[in-house]
Amino acid sequence: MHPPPTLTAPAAWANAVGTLGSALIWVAIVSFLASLLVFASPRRQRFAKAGTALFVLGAVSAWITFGCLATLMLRHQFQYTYVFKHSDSTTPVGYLVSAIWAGQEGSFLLWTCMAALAGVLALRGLKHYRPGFTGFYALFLAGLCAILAYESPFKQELLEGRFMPPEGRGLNPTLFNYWILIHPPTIFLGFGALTVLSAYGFAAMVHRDRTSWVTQVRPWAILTATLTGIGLIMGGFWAYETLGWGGFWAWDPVENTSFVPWLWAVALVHGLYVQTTRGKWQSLNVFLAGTSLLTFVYGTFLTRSGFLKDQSVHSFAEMNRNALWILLGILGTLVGSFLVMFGRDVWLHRNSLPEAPSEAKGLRRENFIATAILLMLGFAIAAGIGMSIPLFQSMRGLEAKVVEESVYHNVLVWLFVPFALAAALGPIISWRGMEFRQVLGRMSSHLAVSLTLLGLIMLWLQRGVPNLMKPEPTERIAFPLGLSVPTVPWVLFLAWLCLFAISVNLSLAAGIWKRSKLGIGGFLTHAGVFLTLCGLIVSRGLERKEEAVVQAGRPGFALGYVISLQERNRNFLQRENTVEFEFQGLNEKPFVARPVLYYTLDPNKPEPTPVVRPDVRFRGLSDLYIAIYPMAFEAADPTTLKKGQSTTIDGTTYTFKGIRREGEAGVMGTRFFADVDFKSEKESGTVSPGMEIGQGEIKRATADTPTMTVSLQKIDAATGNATFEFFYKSALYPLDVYYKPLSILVWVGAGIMTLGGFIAAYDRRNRRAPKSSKPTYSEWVDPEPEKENATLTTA
Amino acid sequence: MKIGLFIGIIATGLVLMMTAFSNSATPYASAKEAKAAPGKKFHVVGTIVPGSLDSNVREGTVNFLLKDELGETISVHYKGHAPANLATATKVNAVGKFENGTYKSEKLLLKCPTKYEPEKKGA
Repeated sequence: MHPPPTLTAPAAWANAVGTLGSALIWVAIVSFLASLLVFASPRRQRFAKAGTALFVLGAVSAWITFGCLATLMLRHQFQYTYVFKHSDSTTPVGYLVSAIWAGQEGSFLLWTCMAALAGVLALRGLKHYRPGFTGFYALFLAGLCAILAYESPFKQELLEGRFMPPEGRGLNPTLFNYWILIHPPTIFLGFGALTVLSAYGFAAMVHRDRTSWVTQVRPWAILTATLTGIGLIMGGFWAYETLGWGGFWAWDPVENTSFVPWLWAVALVHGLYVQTTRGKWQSLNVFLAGTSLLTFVYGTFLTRSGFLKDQSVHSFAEMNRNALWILLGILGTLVGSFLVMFGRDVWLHRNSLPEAPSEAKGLRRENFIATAILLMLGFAIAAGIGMSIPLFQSMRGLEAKVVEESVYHNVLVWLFVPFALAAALGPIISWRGMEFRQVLGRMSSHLAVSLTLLGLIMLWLQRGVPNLMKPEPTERIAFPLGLSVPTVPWVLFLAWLCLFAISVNLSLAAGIWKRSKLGIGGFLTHAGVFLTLCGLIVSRGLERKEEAVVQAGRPGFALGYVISLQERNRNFLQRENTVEFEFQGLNEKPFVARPVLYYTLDPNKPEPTPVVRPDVRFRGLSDLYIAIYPMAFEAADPTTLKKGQSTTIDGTTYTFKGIRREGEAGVMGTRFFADVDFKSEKESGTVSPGMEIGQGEIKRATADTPTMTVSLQKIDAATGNATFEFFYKSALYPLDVYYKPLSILVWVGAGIMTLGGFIAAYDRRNRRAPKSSKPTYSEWVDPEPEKENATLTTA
Repeated sequence: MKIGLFIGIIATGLVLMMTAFSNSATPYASAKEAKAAPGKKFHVVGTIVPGSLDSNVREGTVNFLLKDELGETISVHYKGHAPANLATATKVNAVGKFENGTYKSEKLLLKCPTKYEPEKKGA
């Protein structure tokens, strides 16, 4: 008998820290609301400093709250439910930090802190937009803090906080990966920057000035696009390295929730670009900025509300009902106030002159950008609808439906092709118009380069996996209207489009390097995005997967490799335990793959829980991806045999000879033995598994052949038939082996895209508002300097 | 670009997309409905009947009896390795279709007992 665990009372300081954290949430709510009141009142100009100070006070309160939770987590204060659920005493320090945002409440706190950070950083350049900007921002942050008041990380539900549990439950095993330290903070910082965009959009409408805000908000728009973009891709890296299904992106609703705001921010960046150079599209930009935050809040509501709990990998626990109502309230307020403000804005500008028809002939850059914006919004709306289908279905009282990956591909491909063309041609077409023949002339070198690169890729792919380019005849991609296309040529076509866009943008970056080093930002970003897309398309479209089963002494086969188990002593209960497999292929050195397989014990569960993680072998241009499954011992389904009947399993024949009884029939303690002859090429013999009828239970004695354990499951007294189970003595390891061509491009593209984004944001950070509202050609010059008088101004 | 044209294109695209998604999305169904429409792909959600789970690792197949949310039981045949937490999953979503009397599943999506635990996909 174990003595009962000693329960200690928690330290007083811990209670103080938790109380402080909870209290500060309320301080933040009050501060933000007070700030809003200041900026809403007619005396706002006089009290602007006070209003700003209240806003900053609210932000600081949120940050200190975060510090309180961090303290409790790092000091293992398990009397707090949140600390208990997401950590234990063995959790390493790095993962303790990430445990702060591992759950529902903590992730809301992270969101609040990042949004507050972005808001405070944006306070400096506000000028006359201060009231509208800060009022909007304060109201939003007050709402988030109200959610935190209900979804509080400082709850002490266990034993009412009077005693400290000796141990916590521990961090979820799937979260033990370095990405959890990087991905959530990055992407939430991106969503913080997104809030800045919306606040500026509202301020522009409230203060009826739709031009000055452009220069101020541009660097923020670029930052938002960059941070959410790289945040999204990091999520993909994480899924690739951890989840074992071989891919980066699954059109999961939480992925789409972040995808839509990213597209929105990118669309805004391009809209602002046109407004800066041509002075147009003021309504569009106000629309895009004003709605950007609510696209994210809608997705957040959908994924945390429980509507999608059967369809998402990120299935959060259901939110506190009151907190969910507040979230819905925030969404409703954002939508309602936007409609009111935008309606007013449209009404105010209803008499503005229609645009004079342009004298330019042929193709114009502005139209390409407009098309690109339309397409991006199209992607965003498609992703938004796809993830909302379960909600629509339940609202219509219909059965739920699921939109799968192939459906997204079918719908989105219609948008992708023109989109890639716009990104490739837009930058080389001038503002003033170009004849089509001229465009073709400029394109020709890039066509040549991209086709050559494609050819090289095809040659390289042929070498990688035999028959990669000759897929099964049934491998086709289905399109609407009953059309279908063979997979390989289609994937190569899409890859070529990406290469074309990359070639154009890289050459333009090289071209502008001399004139303006920072001007390469936009081109690098385009090149990076399409490099990533090329990697995603090819690594998924042309992937090869084969299954293998490996056992000690019996190698498995997949993708041309002979896979043998390396035997050594392993502790399967140890975290991060690996199983080593030697891969031998033709024309290359053998290597050892080390996928992770271990088991965790939970007193509440009858069987140990397996945890698996793939081994991703980065081999230059392609990856070999090895996913492992929990080990198996069952050799066959339970088999019933008549006397004299045989069954063959894995090359050995087992013949049931008959039943022997020891003891009286019907008496307790009677034993039955089944004699089974086994015969294979290498060995033969007899085994006699048995069973003993005890008091209310059956005891079994298994019998072993050299390779198999045989168990007698039951005997049918009437017919004399016996049912056997067969287990391998040494475990079987099932493996999925994937060949992922060109997956390296996803990583390289992500890096280039991020670099380009930061350069572009930095390039725009110190621009002051143009003195007049006439368009300024402050951007990089049209590619025809000899034809126009455009000057580079640094206003 | 005129704003009216802009809105018109977006609205048309929206309608087209919604119909495209709705028509090709895979519906959830009960065992009875799936049986009544053989050859059509469904998601059938249910629990594994205890004791019925048989994985044949050598052949790479998994067979089990699935009891759906209305209580009806069907026999599911899945070609592939058993996903990692199949035995302890609280709910199984078998994506597949009825063919010749058996429900042939191409994907198994699992709901695991812990609250914030991702599903493991077996595709």
